[in-house]
Amino acid sequence: MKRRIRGVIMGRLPGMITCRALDEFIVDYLEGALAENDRVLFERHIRFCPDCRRYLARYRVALEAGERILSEMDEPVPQELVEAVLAAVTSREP
Amino acid sequence: MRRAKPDPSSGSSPAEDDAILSGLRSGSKEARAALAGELAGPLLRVARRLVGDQDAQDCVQDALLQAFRNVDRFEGRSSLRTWLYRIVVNAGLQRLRARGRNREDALENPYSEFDASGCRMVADVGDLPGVEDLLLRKETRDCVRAAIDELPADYRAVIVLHHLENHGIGEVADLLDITPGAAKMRLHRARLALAAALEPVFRGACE
Repeated sequence: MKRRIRGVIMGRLPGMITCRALDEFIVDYLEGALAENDRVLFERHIRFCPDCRRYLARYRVALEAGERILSEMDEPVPQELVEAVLAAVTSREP
Repeated sequence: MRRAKPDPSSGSSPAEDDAILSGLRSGSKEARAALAGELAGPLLRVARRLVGDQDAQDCVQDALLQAFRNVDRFEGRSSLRTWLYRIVVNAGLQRLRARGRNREDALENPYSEFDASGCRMVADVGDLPGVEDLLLRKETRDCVRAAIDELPADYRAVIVLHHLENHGIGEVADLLDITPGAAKMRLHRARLALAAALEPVFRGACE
């Protein structure tokens, strides 16, 4: 289906949302926090819109890659750092 | 992926909290040392996630000293630990902003482009490989690291608080003193920035 025609249908038919509106739901959708009615609207849009299917796939991959790399960058706090803070705050009068 | 959520208010009883608070209010060095000893590690953890090692130390020291000085302003609406945690998060955010990482409006994003009818315009690059395959590539890992490092301050803060510290959207909003809607929008835009940074990888991987 041509994008322009799809846009008109999504924007005007009851029970459909536009791609732009989908962005308002995406965080809650991925959190599993979307209200049932909105979840149905979201998933119906994804079913009919190849652009948003691609978008959602890339969004999920970016999100998961980001989480993985952030976790790998996240090292335990060195004990020397803890001791340096304790020395600094206990040696100074507030 | 969400890990076990840290609870900054756990680890002591209300009676122990009252004793520490009373000690802080009377200027007791033992009370200060007890609180700092208990919280330096957890507070450093979130500060490092926000600003890195060197600034983390300054953030936590400043926050603890500020809390000791201003303990009379503590109203008891949250636990003492939550109050301190909030001070550290805000100190970290201020330091990130001072580094110039606050130009969120300057980010252009190919995933935020819509035509006149509200239709998204995303190029079809074929089937996307899974994240496991993508992360085997050095190019992908470098892209993601660079994108994380370059996130504007407000985006980095929501990503760290939500994805590493495991706070829900409402808690993130509360910690940053913004609305839940604003927290969601920042989280969304931060993820879009990561996706945009990965676009060349997506294209290359699908060719």
